[in-house]
Amino acid sequence: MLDLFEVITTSGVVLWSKSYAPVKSSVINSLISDVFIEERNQPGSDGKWFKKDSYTLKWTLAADVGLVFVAVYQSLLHLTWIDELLDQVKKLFVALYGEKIKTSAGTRIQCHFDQYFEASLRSFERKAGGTATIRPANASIEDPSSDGNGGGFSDGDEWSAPPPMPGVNNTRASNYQHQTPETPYSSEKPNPLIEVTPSATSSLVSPATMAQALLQASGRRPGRSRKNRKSAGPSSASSAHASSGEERSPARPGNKSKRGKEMRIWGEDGIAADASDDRKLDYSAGISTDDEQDESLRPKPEAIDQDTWGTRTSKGDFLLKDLDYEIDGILKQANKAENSEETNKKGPGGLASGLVGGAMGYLRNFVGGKTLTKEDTDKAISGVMTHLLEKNVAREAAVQICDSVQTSLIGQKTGSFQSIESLVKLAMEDALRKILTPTTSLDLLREIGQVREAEERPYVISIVGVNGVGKSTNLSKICFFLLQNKLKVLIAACDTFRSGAVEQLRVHARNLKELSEREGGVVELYEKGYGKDAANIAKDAVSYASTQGFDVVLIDTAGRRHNDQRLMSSLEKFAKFANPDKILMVGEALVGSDSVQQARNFNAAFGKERKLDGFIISKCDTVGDMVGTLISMVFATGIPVVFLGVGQNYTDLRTLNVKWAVGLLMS
Amino acid sequence: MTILPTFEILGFPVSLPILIISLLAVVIIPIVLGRLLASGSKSGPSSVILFAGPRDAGKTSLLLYLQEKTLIPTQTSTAPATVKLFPLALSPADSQDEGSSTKPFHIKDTPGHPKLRSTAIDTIVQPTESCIGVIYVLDSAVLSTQARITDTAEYLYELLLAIQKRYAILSESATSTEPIPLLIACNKNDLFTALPSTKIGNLLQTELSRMKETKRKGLLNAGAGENDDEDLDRVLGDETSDKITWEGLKEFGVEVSVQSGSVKSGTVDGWTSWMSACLDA
Repeated sequence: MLDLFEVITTSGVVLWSKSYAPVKSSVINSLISDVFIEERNQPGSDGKWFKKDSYTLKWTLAADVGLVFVAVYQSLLHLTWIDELLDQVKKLFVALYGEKIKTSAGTRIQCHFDQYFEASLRSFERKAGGTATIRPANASIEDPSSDGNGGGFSDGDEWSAPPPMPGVNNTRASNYQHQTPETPYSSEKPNPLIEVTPSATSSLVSPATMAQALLQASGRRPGRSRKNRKSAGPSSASSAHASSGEERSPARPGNKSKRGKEMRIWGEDGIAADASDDRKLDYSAGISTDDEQDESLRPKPEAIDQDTWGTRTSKGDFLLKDLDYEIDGILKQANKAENSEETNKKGPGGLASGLVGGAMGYLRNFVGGKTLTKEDTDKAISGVMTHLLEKNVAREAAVQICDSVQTSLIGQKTGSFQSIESLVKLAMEDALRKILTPTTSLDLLREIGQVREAEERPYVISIVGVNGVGKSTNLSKICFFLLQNKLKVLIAACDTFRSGAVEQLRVHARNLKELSEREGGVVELYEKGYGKDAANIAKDAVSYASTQGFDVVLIDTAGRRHNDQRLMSSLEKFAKFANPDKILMVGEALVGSDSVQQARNFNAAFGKERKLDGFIISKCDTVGDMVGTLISMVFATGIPVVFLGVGQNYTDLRTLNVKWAVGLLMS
Repeated sequence: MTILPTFEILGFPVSLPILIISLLAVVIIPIVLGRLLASGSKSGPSSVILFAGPRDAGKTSLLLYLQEKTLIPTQTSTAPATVKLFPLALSPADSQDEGSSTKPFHIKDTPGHPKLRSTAIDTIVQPTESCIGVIYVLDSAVLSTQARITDTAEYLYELLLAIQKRYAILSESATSTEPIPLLIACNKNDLFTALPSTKIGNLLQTELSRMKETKRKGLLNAGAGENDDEDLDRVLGDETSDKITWEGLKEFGVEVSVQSGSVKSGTVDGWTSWMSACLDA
């Protein structure tokens, strides 16, 4: 069962929503920020679903009007029809309110969509033929007006004397009467609707005098209604054997609704909108099916009934009838429009119209105002993709980025005198900027200061990476930068594997000490030789640093191949023991398509709780403007670039300037 | 006299120059017209008040409140929205007081997600786009944690820097330029954990000062010095000291005021009167 359905504009306004159970708004917010903004799909989802807490979210976009349709349901349930529902609701909503939305500039509009939605939802639930359909009570949250209506029926025990109900129920009620005499039975369920029917029919259905059954019914007085009720339960129950597994067994109505599923698709939506109670809905459902049956038996009275109600009585009923056709009509139209668009594209409908259309399309290519389709953008997109590949962006990343740019463009209109190429280029620039822009603060100095002030412990940074990418070099660059800011730094030599690693760091430490003596920084090397367990050394180094009052601990680790499971597994223990504030991964700007996998594997190596905190992209000076590795690594993981290595000296460390990087990539 | 070749089109004799001229006219006129129209529409809406701030602070809610006078549910925005309002929207819901001016103004609501903050920044630094005031909406109930203060202050720092740049550009072209007003709207003060506006003001000033200090000490940006992009080495406010105060920023073109309020409980009068003042100025 659906928990929540929302229609949201890109500007964040909830245009319409229907909730069947309370769902925190943070659930949808995280969908929006993770999937739509940061474009990080959950593993295995392929961008089709999103899980948060115990919910599964599915969505569909209407890019041309800037709408997002989101359905939220419990992950435990496997609702196979959600996609279809989303699609249908999208078509309906866009057809009904599309124009309004376009003129309202993405803010609030008035929409009375409840009935349409209920109808669609019901039809899908019935088609699915699963368990009982609509959730009780909450259903009417969005619909206070109808709430009042349904209130009278909400309690099953109040069946004895409900007032005649104008509106929706009348049809059902009267039709129901036809059936009752045929199947006398005993049912213990109190049935509010049946009580209503006599009075309702008498007052409202009277014009349909030729219908014998109706006359019978109206002749019935409330005193006898119990019989009616009795007959009601079984008639529907008998046809609902298939659904014996019903969880809501005491409420027969549930069964009825199931029968309704087979008989009629749109029947009870109007009631649904009106009802505040499950039971009532279900009754109506059962009745509506009866309605159908009757129609076959006695078409005449049915027809008359419709007429009279349409003109004479409550809006509710009329609307209900209307709605079935309306929804069908809207969907048909939407589909037709889609189809005709497709055929237009494929075959020339007529020579003249084809020529005119072609000429207009050709002009629009220059003048602008062309609505983009996938075919239009294909050429430009593949051009941009080649460009990205030439900039050393990994193929996997390039393909995905191009795909998302393309989907974002479809349905958009080109500006005046804007070629598709320039539009695609702009969109690509935007996408790259979005990818590279960090979501958290990367000011290392401030963080160190805050940790020192608040917790009085050293700030721990550890550096990981593949062999030979420049871990120790970048570590000493960072160390130099910290020393310049008069911090006390401890370097921990946790590469206990490669011979010469410790000595290398010792040389760095000695150089840095000399360089920074005048500045006032203090640097020390913590080493335990070779062959020891790196995680333990790191832990000892951190505790040594806190007793000695160091500000920062920089931990160097052994280089490891990212696809070597044995070496990578030790990182988890390392992260747990040393518990670094920042784990930075060094990646070469030189690496090509392997960058994506490197970043992913290292990001996953620290266990479930821990992720990488940033990248250092080294050797940027050697690649010129081919800085695609930046994009590949950040795109694969969503982790920001903290530093760039741009040369051989201690001073050749830079922070990332997004504008600069995007400029290089698009040049 | 040379005889020009003539063609016969639909029975009328047409000489070559006339044919060429008319063809050129057919091609060029729509292009010129289109350009003119395009440039006319490019200037964008006038009298824009910009809404910015971290996400979940209530920017879109505030906008909708001004529009509809009720609380309307919102989710994280992914795109900016520009809405045309009349000054009447700024007067309290019950009063029927006709505003001094009936000229419409616009509100531009920008997304607060870190990756989308460039929308607001770009609008401000673009001197051709109108921006008569900026409202920085923040959530005063979450500022008790350092991480949220940092986040809030960081965005504010970027905004202030952008406003400073806009002011610098504008004052180059005009002789006298008024400082651009910025309101820090401390939303959600109906919540129990909300901090008072003066406290928030002080917190932000300290945090901005610290930010300025670490930015000065920090590493150079990649690409600095390669192309003379002046916004790489710009500092907020006074170059000589790291201290940032609201008074000190006035000199650099930002007039900051801080006011509490709550969209949820409808206490937005302080903000609306600030906006009215903005429009009158």
